[in-house]
Amino acid sequence: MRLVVTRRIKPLKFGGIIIPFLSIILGVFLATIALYALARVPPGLVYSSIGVSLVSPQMLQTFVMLVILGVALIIPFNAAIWNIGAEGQIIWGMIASAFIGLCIAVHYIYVSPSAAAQYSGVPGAFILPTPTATGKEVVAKLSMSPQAGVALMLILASLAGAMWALIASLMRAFLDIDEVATTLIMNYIAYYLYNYVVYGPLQGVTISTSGFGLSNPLHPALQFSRISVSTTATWEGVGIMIGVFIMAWFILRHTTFGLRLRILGSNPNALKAAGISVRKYIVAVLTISGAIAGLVGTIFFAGNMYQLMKIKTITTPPTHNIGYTAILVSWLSMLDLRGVPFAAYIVASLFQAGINLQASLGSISGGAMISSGALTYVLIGFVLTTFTILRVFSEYRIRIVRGRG
Amino acid sequence: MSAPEAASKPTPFSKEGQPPAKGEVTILVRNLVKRFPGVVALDHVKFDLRKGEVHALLGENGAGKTTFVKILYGVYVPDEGEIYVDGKRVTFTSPLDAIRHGISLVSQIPQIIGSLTIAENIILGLEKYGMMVKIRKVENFIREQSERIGIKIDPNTEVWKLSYTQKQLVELLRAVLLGAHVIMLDEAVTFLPIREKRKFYRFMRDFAKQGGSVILITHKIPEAMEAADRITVLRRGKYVGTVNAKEATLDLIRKMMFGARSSEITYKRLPSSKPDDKVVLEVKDLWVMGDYGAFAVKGVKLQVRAGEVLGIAGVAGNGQLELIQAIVGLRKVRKGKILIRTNGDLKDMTNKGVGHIRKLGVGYIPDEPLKYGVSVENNIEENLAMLPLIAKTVINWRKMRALAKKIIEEYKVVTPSSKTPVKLLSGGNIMKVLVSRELTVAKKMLVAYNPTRALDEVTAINVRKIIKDKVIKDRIAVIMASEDLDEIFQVSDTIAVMNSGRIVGVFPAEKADRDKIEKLMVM
Amino acid sequence: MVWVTNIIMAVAPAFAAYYLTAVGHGVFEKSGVLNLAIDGVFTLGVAIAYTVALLAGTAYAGSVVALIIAAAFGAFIAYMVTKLPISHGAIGLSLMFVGYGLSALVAMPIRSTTGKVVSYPLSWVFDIGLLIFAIVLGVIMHYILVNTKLGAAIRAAGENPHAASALGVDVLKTRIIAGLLGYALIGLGASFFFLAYSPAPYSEGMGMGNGWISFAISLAAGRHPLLTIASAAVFAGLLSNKFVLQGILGLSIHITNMIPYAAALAAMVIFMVTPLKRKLAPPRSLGKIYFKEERTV
Repeated sequence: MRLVVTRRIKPLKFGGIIIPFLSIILGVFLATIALYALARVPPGLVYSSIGVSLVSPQMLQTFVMLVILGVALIIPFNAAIWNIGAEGQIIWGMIASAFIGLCIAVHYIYVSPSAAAQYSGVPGAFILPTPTATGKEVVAKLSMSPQAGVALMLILASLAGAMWALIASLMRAFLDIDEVATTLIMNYIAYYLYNYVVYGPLQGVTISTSGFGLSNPLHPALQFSRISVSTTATWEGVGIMIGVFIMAWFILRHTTFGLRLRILGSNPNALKAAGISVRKYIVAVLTISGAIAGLVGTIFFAGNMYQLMKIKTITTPPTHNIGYTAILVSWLSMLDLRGVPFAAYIVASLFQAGINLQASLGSISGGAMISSGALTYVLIGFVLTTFTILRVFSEYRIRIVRGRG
Repeated sequence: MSAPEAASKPTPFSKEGQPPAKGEVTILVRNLVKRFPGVVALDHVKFDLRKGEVHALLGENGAGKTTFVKILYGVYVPDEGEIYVDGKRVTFTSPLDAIRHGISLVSQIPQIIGSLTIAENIILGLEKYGMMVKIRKVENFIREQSERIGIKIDPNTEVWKLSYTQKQLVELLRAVLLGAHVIMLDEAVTFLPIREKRKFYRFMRDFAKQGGSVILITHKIPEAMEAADRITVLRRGKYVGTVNAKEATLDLIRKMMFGARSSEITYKRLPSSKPDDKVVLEVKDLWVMGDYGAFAVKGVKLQVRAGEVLGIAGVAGNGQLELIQAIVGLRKVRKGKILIRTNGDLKDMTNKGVGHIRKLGVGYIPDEPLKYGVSVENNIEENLAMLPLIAKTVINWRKMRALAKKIIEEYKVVTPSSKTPVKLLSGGNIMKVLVSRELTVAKKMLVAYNPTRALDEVTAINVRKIIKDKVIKDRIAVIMASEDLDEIFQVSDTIAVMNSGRIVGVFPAEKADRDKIEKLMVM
Repeated sequence: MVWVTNIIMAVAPAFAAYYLTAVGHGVFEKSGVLNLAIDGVFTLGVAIAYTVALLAGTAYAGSVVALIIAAAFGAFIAYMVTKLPISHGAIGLSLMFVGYGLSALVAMPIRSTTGKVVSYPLSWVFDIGLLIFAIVLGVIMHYILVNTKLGAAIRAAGENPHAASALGVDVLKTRIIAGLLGYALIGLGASFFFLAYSPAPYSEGMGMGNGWISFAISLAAGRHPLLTIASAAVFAGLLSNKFVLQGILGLSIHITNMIPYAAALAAMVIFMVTPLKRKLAPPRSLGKIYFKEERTV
């Protein structure tokens, strides 16, 4: 008896809904078994944590970032190009935003402690929390309007992300070097570069930051505005998300560029024969993806971090590995832009579920021994493994053949 | 490696296997059905292969011949039907199953792997050697065996270093070494030079004489009649009939292949378009590399005028493909010039790139339309909009729909709607979409290679008429290479014969002598 | 002589861990399966090695169990991507997350009760043994890949699984063997990473990222088991002795940290633009979906 896989003439009806739904149920079930078998996590607690997180406003920030990154990755994905390098591109976005926000949009005045008082309450002036090693207070003053500062941060972050992706895209387009490996390896280079920067050009000037792997804090006028106390999401972030989504929708559906990148994914030879430079498209597709991912760097920096902080171990970058998680969002969306928000919602909920679960585990056993990150990995891992396998059935059917040769 | 003197002493069987009695049925196939998305490739096909015979399988493109042998080789699994080998019912789900039953396949495109040595390629199918056997040890065995049947090879050579002919030889050697008693040749000799081809056929005869069986797929009726004992014809996935080669006539086979439509088939010349003096394309001393590191086009010189169809006749693999690709800008020119009329002057377009050349108003119908012509996952509108000459940066989908509707009506494309993915259309309809799209952009010139290869004869003739009408109406220039001499005669105003990378003769079509052209093609 | 043993003790365990993992990665990818689950399974291997060694009281048990479980992952991945038209990248990354998550769960019960660690002996004799063991395994892998029918089958499956199948290769079986072999080495490497190289009290996520380092080591050597000796030695040397280079060249530690990755990128470029391409370029069908029933006109 053997299995034979054949392609369906038309994709499974409602497969785009049934399959993700089924995968979530099955995946969560498998995760629950693993959690109980290995760490005695009560199944009921897992289900209630997921239930709560589905309506939790706290996951909004994760959702916003995952939508933006999901869009960023789905563009090359449609062209059958993988961008595993969102992590690195976000890091570059952070560094670029920090450069603008900490060096270009503000300038620093060093004053004696007594003179510092005259700056408190002055619009546009921000006294850094600690003085310098020589006892001077540091006042950051805006050199431009906050709007211009924010705009510059976004523009440079986007350019930086694009430039980082450009390197991998050129290697792919001109030397045919697989972008999966290059973009991945470049993430690590970006992490170390980030550390170099926080100990070097962007290190803080005050006694608590300089040499501690910290940059100066961002001027409050340049910080994004939080939507409410219950969430870390920002209005600017939501705005960027909507803007990016609409732009991507327009490009993919209504331009020859979008059409051709989809054809690049299914039949690059036809594109070549039509007189279109496949190389240009590979470069453009990855660069655009990097540009969008770079924006997320600004959302992180100006929306949550406000300050660059060294990466202690390479497994805990300031991105929280969201660049990898986002790959799974674009995958879960079945390459359809409309699916991205749904996929992002599911993954963000599972993220939040890990946090909720850890909190309730902690309150039961006193000392929680499993981090929320690990719990999230278990949930996301099983759901997406199940989905990846079940997804086959939307376009293929499996037949059992009896007898042997 | 030298070609098979081979032929003299083939050994189709391993020592222990004695040749079975002649005439017995070795493979019996009943009610074979195979469906692919959007098409029934085989529709209740029956077939029987006897020991000691060469059995030709004939049919137009898309008749299901390749699918049929791929099923017998275990590549595809049939949806319905039964296969018996030596009286026993079998179900193959991989080629290994077929090899175990002594069945081997040699395809038109060599399946041996370039980065592996000859020995490695062959040993992979030899089950008597375990997984951990040292390849060196088997090299000697292969060397001995190949010398025994007269093929001189170094088994340690990596396959990428071999020529096409040598690769096909290795494929044949492999089949023999695997102990095959059924060898299937799927257009395996089509691309071979005529002398090698004869040797292949001789080898085949001897192989059959010793009790082996051969299934020979070809699209050339005379070749099948000469080489085969029996001929089975498939038409559009259906079994038509089996005849003894001795009793067959060209006419009978043609009727079997094309059915009632065979009367519609005419190779009469289409009306001439009367070219004028304006040269649209001029090629000067063109040198182009092939895929295997040698020049495929060697100093070609030609001209095409407005309102002229230049047909390039030739046996496949003589540089026509490379010439066509160079003209549209898909292949780099090493030496020489390509000039195309632009704004009243002939301008140098050598190595300007396909994008640039296509924008001048050049349509292109490539070989293998499913691979190079259309994107099968996309619908008709999208396949139109992908061309820079049809859609601008922002696509006006309403305009695309109108154009798609016009094409569907004008060319009678059978499709549920203009939004149906092209992969669900039949081969002929896909071709109509492609040809009409290319004619839409061919304001100046159309470049084509085997433009009707994937089509049945009736549709093919229709497509040729469509092209010719466009030439007469819009006075465009057409350069078309085809392996089908009938096609060349039907549409061309001028015929150029290409052989070994050179143009060896140019004739006005009305005065061209078919015999002479055929001789030039193979000399 | 003292400085020799010092260097061996400093570098050998790291070398063995990275080398075996990188060779395992190379063997698996040679069969055409894109291996993105490596870091997750490596992390899981570390947790298993720690837990089992502690429970059994001997480090060898930790290595054996890590090897077996990792090999099971390899076989599972190979089966899935060969039997079904599944995206290699997606299944790899999904399983990477599974590995990360399970690693925390596996180690949790015992970690919450004791801070003890069972490891291999910290002696230069053991380290030399380990060094030899790792290199011998690598040489055996090289021999299998280059000289045996199995090796030819693995390479054929990686170059073109369709053609390989037509030549008589059982692609599924071949890739499962490659998965078992490759991931057995990855599991082994992960166990040495913890039990021989850094047997510190276990903390969650230990070893994470080192699978990717091995990935880079393997690619820097074009997946060639013998060349991997060199790239693994360079990485291991840099990672355990990076302060030396920092001192000599006056480079920031962050920059020296980058060097191995940058070197891997440079090596990939060199392999693609020079005649080394024939031997060291990635397998042509690496990561391509293998689907047999496709109509080819």
